[in-house]
Amino acid sequence: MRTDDLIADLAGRVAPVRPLPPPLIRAMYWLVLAAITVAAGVTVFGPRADVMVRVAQADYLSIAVLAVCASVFSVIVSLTLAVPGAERTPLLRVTAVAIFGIWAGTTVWEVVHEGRGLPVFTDPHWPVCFGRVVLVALLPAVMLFVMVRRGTPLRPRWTAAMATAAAASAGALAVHVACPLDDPGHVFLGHLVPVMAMAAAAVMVRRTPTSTVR
Amino acid sequence: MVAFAGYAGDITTSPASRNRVRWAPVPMTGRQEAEATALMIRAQQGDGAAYAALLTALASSAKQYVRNRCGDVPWADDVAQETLLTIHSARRTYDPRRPFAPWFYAILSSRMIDVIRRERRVRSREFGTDVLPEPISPPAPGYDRAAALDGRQLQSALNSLPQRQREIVSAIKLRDESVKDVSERLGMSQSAVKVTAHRGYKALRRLLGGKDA
Repeated sequence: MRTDDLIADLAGRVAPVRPLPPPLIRAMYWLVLAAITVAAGVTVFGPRADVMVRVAQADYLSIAVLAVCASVFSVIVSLTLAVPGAERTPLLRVTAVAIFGIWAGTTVWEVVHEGRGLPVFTDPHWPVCFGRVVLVALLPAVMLFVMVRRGTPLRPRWTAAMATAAAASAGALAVHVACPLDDPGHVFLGHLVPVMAMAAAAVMVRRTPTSTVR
Repeated sequence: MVAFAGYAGDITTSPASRNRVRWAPVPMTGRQEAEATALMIRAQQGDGAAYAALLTALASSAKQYVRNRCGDVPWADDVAQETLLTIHSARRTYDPRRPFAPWFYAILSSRMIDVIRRERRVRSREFGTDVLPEPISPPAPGYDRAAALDGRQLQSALNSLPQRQREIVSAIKLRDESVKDVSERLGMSQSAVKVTAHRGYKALRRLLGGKDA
């Protein structure tokens, strides 16, 4: 097809479109939905009995803050990447990855410090928490992918990974509030691994759900 | 008409990573930016004439951008068309309050990298030829393809294959049977037939002095 013909074709079927709101505004919408989903998840699973005591302790609070920060930064990154040219600097992406790194590093350090290794076969509860993280993350993930697909992500793998990580972090936060187990091995396998696994799966999928561009 | 040809970005190939292409956009002049933005806003409102004017200018700019960076390559039109298609599907993502150039050049450089990768893939798998090969007509009934080739050498190579590989390779390549027919006749799955045939081809290639892929 000649370029002139293509232009005539595209111009002939141009329809009015409403410009998308800025990524930060869209991120706010999503965060409200994610907060509702997390609250619903905590309500369904039931918060741990000593949550008010634990929330005042640094080790517990730091993980919750990291999960919130990871979700917030990741959703902003994914929605920014869905707009061509909106990402002026990779600083935001680096920050999001760094937060995940600190979260993972803290959890792994606690596992190592505890010295009991990972209770892959001895702890029957971590698969339950794993499933709960995925369950809570499901609706926010679908919503975020719908929002991302309204844009045009030119880096589909990064966008998909960040979107999935944002939703999974919200799931991990809900489980963090609900789960009464503080064993580092359980926290690693049941709360953190699902976040990493979901993000990695989004990267590895050959044609990601964000691949709207031909 | 907007003329964008003079202010494309600067694209360089990093010696450290040959496959990565980096670009740093040179900002449009204020007038060009304003004209492009005005046309895009009208295009977002459904104005076909403004959209056509914008796309015409952007197509020319895209081709110039490619030629400035890659020389007189035959795929400059491909980049321009891919860019226009992406602009069409992405036009809702343009925020009129933001500058137009970063939005446009982000799409253009992304599409150019895609086309460069595609061209590399194609070039690595294809080779040019000055004389087109003669078209192959379907074999006449009773035609023995093995005999028409270097019969003795091929027959000898075929005979040295294991019986199952020999049977499958002969059926598919010499008797033109389909994989489905062979799999049904031999009671194997189609995947197993394909795997056995592939192993047979590799063995034949080795026996006939070709490269073992």
